[in-house]
Amino acid sequence: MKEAFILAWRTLVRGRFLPILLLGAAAVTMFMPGLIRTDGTAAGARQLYIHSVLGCVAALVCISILCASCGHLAQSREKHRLSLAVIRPVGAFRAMVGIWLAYVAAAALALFAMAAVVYFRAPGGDVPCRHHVAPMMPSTMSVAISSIDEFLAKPTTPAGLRKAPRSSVLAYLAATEMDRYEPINPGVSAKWEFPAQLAEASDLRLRVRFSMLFAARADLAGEFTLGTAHAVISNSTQAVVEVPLLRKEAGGDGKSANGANGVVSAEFKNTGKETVMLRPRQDLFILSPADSFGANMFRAMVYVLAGVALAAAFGLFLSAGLSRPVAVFTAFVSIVVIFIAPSVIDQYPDGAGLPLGDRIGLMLSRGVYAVTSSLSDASPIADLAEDRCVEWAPLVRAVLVNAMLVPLALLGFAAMAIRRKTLPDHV
Amino acid sequence: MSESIVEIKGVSKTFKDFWLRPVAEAVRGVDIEVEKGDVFGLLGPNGSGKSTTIKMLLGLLKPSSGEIRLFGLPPHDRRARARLGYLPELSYLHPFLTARETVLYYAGLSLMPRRAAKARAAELLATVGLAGNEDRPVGGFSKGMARRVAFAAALVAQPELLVLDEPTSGLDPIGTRDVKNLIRRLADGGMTVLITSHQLFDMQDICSRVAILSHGRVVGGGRISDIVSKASDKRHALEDYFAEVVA
Repeated sequence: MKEAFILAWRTLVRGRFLPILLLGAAAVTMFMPGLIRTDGTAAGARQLYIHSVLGCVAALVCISILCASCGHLAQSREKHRLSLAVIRPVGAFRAMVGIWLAYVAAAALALFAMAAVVYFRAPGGDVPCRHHVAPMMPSTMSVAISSIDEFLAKPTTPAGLRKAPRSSVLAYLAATEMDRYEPINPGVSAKWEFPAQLAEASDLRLRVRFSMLFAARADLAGEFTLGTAHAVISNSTQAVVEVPLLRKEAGGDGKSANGANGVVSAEFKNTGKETVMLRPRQDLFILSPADSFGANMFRAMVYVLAGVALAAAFGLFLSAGLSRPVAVFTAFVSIVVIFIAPSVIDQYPDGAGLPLGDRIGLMLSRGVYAVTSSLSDASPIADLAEDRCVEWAPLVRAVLVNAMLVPLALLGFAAMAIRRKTLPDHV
Repeated sequence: MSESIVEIKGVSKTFKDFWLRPVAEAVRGVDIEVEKGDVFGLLGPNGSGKSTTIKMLLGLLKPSSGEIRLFGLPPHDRRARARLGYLPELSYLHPFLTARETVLYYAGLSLMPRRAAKARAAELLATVGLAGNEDRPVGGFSKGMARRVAFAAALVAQPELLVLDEPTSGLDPIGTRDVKNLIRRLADGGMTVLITSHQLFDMQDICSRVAILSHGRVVGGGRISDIVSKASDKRHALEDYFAEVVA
């Protein structure tokens, strides 16, 4: 493994791939800020700078590593070098892992070097990130399951939905629940529950986005309470509102708001004259302090690196059996599939009634999504730009699945393929 | 009774196209046995099946029928591969590595300890006449120098069987003489050598036994001493015998 790693690393460095990649990434990091037009605010400038620079660097690194890995074994096979290696007693899988690790190391060097530059040059400096805690609610699917019978029994339910397979209706109801607006009439309070540890936390902020039924620009007013903390919202339009949650004096109802079952109640009282609405699953967050910008950037870069590691393993896997142009073409088609898979699954939650070709496509989309969802559902660079904490739990999952489990499986398949396809096609 | 290092029994190889239709029958029922200590020459005109036979022996191609045993094991067995050294017809080396790094790389793939490999690499590079050029990238080497590096890489793990595909190809007369002397020294040290070559004069010089392939079949062969003893022109004995059996 060590020998394969050293050889691949030397090839990347002395073949000028890594120096050119670093130069390209440095050029993006240095010159991209000059091309960005900001909204004029300091926060907007910071957000755009981080998002655009790191986004471009991540894309550059990912595409370069994918293209290079797609050609690695194919080139060795074409130049007859592979046959010289595979007749040695070293295991093909270990050699594959060594080559893959060299690509991961090259990607890590480029990503973390550019992240360090962004860290020191980002407008606003070291802004600590915050956890974004959503209200505790049952999963959308469990809500869908509990409401499906009632929904189907309603005379207003469209006939098409009544005839549709149950799984399709459940997916529809789950999506509806995700986008469900909760109306709050004037003088009325709406209540939600949050994890109890928020009740004791300091320096909390409320991030909320309200909508109104008819008046797009009407002002709203209200008071938000979380345990002993509260915030007053007034004269806000439909933009995202972020206000500090201030502690009330001791006493009050803080204790009673802390339930025994690990939750703390939150309440919003509409004191305005208009009915306001919000989607509790998407529009309401309590922001609690997490850690530094540097630590958040590290996690975000590890997330990106997990994606690049998967790309490198996929490239090597394709390269084990295909020539370089075919492998690169297949890799790019696969990237398109990865991007469109969530939309396909949303569009066709059930394959019943679809032609065979479409059902195969749907199955493929589901398989791809199952493998890549921890990456495709995440937006680490956007989170970093918005000073939103990149959480450890999904990061660990992404690393385990996308940077270890799936790559090792792909490399295992590649090792098997390489045994069968050591020589170029024209031999 | 001498020990068989290579046993090729009734081996055939038919290449097929994408639709599995037979395209070419490269090897047809070949039987070859190489014994310990032999310097065995596998000869034949172009397209006779030598390279295919060597690739099957190395486990790079799978025979369509028949059986190949290397040290009594299948060719893809790691224990067999650990005892094998191979010099291909062209020196397919990594151009970015230096001569020393190349030899160390193949030592690593042969699972040699790093310290022992370093000492062995230095010794081998000096043996093949590359002392002073150890730290130059092989991409800048001449064909002959690259061949010497490949030779050192093939020998680094101290193999018991050395398979040489056109070992003197691309070498100048001095280099050719050095390689022949090296093969003789290796054989004297007990190493078994299997060589394919078109240089019949050189083969007569260094081989103890030969097999001649034509159109995928073994059409002749035997001990060099027997071939020479039966020939009228001792100096060109193998050349004459080759022309006779291939014709």
